[in-house]
Amino acid sequence: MKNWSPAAQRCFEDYCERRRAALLASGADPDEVFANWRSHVTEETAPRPGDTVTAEEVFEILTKLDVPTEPLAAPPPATPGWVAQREKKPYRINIAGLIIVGLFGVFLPALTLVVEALTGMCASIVFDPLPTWLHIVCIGLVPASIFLTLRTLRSPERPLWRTTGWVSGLAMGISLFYIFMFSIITPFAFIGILFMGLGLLPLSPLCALICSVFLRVRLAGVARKETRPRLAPLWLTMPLGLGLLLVLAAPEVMTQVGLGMATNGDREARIRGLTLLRSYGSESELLRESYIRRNTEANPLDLLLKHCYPPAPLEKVRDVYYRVTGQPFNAVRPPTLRNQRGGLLFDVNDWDFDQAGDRVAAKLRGLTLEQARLDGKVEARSGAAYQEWTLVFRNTAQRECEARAQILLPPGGVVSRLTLWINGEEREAAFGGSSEVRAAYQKVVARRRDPVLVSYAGPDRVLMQCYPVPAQGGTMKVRLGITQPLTPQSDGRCPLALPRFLETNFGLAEGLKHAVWIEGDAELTADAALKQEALEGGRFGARGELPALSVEEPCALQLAGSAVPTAVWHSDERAPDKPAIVQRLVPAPPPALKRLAVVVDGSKSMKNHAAAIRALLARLPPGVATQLLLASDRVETPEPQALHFAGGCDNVPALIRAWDWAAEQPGGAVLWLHALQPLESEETEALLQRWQRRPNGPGVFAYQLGTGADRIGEKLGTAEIFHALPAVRGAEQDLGALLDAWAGRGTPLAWERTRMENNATPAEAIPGSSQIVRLWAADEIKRLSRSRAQGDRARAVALAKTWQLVTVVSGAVVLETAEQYRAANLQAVDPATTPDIVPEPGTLLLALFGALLLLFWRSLVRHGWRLPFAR
Amino acid sequence: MDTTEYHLNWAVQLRRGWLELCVLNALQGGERYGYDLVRALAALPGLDVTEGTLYPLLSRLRLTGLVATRLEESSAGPARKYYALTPQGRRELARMNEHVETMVAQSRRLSGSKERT
Repeated sequence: MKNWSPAAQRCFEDYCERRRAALLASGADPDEVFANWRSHVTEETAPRPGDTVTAEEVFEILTKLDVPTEPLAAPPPATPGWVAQREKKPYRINIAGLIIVGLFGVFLPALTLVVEALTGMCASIVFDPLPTWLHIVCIGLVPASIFLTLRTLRSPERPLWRTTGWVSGLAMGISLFYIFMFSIITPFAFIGILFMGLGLLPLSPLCALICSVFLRVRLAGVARKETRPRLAPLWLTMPLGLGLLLVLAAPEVMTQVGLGMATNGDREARIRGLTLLRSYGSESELLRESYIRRNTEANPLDLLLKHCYPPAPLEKVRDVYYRVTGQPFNAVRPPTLRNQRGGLLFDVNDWDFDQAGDRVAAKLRGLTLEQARLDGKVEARSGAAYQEWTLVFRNTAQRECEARAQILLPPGGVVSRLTLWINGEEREAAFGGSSEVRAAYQKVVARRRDPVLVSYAGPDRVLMQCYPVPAQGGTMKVRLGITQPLTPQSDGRCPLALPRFLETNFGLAEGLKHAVWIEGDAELTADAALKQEALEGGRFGARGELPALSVEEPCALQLAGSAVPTAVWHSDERAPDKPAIVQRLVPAPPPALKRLAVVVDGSKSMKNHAAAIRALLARLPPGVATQLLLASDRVETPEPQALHFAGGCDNVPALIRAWDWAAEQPGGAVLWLHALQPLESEETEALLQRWQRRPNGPGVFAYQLGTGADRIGEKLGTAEIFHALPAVRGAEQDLGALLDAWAGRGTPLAWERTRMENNATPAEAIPGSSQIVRLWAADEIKRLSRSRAQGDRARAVALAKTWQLVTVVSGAVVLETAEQYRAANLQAVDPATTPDIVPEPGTLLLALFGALLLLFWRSLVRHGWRLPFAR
Repeated sequence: MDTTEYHLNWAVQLRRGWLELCVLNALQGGERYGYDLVRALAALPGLDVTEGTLYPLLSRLRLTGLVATRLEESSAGPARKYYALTPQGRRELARMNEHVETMVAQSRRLSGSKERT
């Protein structure tokens, strides 16, 4: 459509004005006739060349259109004075109205939107009016619609008439919603304006609504007087605007209702709340609630919800977050929360909520594992190995931070050394009771000094934490020494498991490889990534680089089971009487199985393992009564094909039911397949009671699929009947070995360690290394920790200190100064007493003696000497 | 006054009512776009009407309730106004046509009786 030049516009209006009186006298509606004339001119000029309707064209067409009562003067080009008196149209809007409406209807709401979007001021004190981009669009529609209406009122002939009708109604609905939400603080805003001149921003919706209504009335006047098309009706558009906001608010409201149900009431109500949250809730809103509870008196909606559901404490909300999403709240990046001045309230970059705590929690940006090396020593003749894992962390953030990791030790392994580099010097740890070392660590962390702590985190698991990794590219270096048994399997192989990360709060540097160097007295079979070597003196090695060590990766190294002797001994040199500790390899067949309850975790993270679980269930030993239980929100007994997974589930009720069923008759067992368990259960004690009161009851075999913490296993791991199955060769092989044993296909082997009285040693045992004594001490500490006899726990702690072990009762901590050790009543160990990757003198002599014997034997053979019984 | 002037005056007086009848008859077949309607009526020989005078006439007919209007958005230009007869307009048109026919018939009958006498 062509635009009219200002002169053409004036020419036309002048013509109309001159005809108005005559038209009125004729009984016609002048405005209607003028509109028709305008259309006529537009139609006539449409086919003509050019983009603009000129005054000359208008003059020509109007002259043809009618014979005016007075002859029209030809329009002098671009002479404003040519325009006659302008028509007064009181139903439109004048300049004063334009300014007022522009100020309060356009400028103020637009300013409010920008200020809130940039600062989050309202979000921090009342409620978040802009939780999504759609809300921003909706609020932006209000000033935009008022601007459009103003523009249309000034020039109704412009296009977008119908659009104006729609958006003005929608904007009124949107304003109504926010007036309702601000209704509680609106009176305070009025008072603020009266006395301090502040508080105009909360009144924006009200101002916008008043302006919208005012303009709507004017718009309707134009429609009526100037025969414009009818505006979209308010009864339709306004509820649509309001409804749009209500629909957008629905997830938030559903989240609050679901949260209320999930944290209040009985079990069934809680389950209904979780179902509601999973179906309709907002994860981001739930995450926000996990960090800071909303101000529950700031808007009518919250007041109503508060009336229905009393607010729950943060801990409960965090539990609900895991139950709904299947991942702990602190495993995802925290939301951006703002304070009253608009600054960030906290961010993971600025604040670590779990510093010095006992959870790994969220990953910190800028913190990475920069270098890692693994040095190992295989002592096949002692049936043991020792590995040292050296980790170097780098922090590129602006703030120093704590590195934390939960580490899965090799099966049966125990941390027997901990070293921290301070100013380039190695500092050995002090070993003490769990609470002693943690208190010492927290005290030093509070002073922002350099400690590292390793503590028990469940069977074969430890939590390592070190602080501070210096900011802006600083590094921190720690080393963990791990003593582990070498246990031959029924298939004749002996895997050498490596320590792995279960959960970390740091990332891995790009392209990070673990430099692995393992040597020992037996030939090692390694993955292609590691180079195998035969060394002098009957020693063998494997070295190379491995990618990041994760629990999902199968074991990279193994040796022949025949290289491990069936009996070996070493004296406990740190005991006054120096008794011999004997380690024997014995068959350990599982008890005859008659009924097996399989508990499958129904959490979302198990979904990826569903096929493997179904395949495993098909391999259950025949002739055994089995029951499959799914630990979902409720305990279910589905068919294997009907397994389903959602959220994060409490497995303990299913374990209780499974154990009770298995305990009904002798020969029962429970197999528990589960994902991470970041939460404790309310019913853990009920389960522990069963296990502690009947220690010879059905055994519980737990196997974790995937990575992550296991709080349930950490609690239950102290029970004698609880067996955390090692994750060494992947789920199929690890669990397959157990099922084969139950089916009578192969007998598992296990180490039995005993302390010989009177310093006696069995004739069949050969001398080994001190690692045997450390492993015996770990067994003994586990036994003593389960005992309820007086003094046994103290004896367990004393033994852990003597042999420098991290166990269920003890931990290791490196502090910076001697003063800190004294204040904590701890003593750093003598470096001479720590295990090392260099073979011990005794082992070295043994190896030398063996090599000499071998040379002597070869010499004899060369000279024709034969054994008396050889043919 | 010569006869030509006399005829012109007579034609102007006759056209005042006749124009309204033409407009209503033009709408009898269905609604029409105002601009097209005006162009069609202005082109009628003998009616001798300018386009500009038809628009006030259409406005009066709308205000009287004989015709109704409807706006339809147009991508090429401003909204187009369509005119249609209202039920009242249809009744009035029927009466007007009947009246004209009666008048013409009476006029012719008078002429015929004179011829017979």
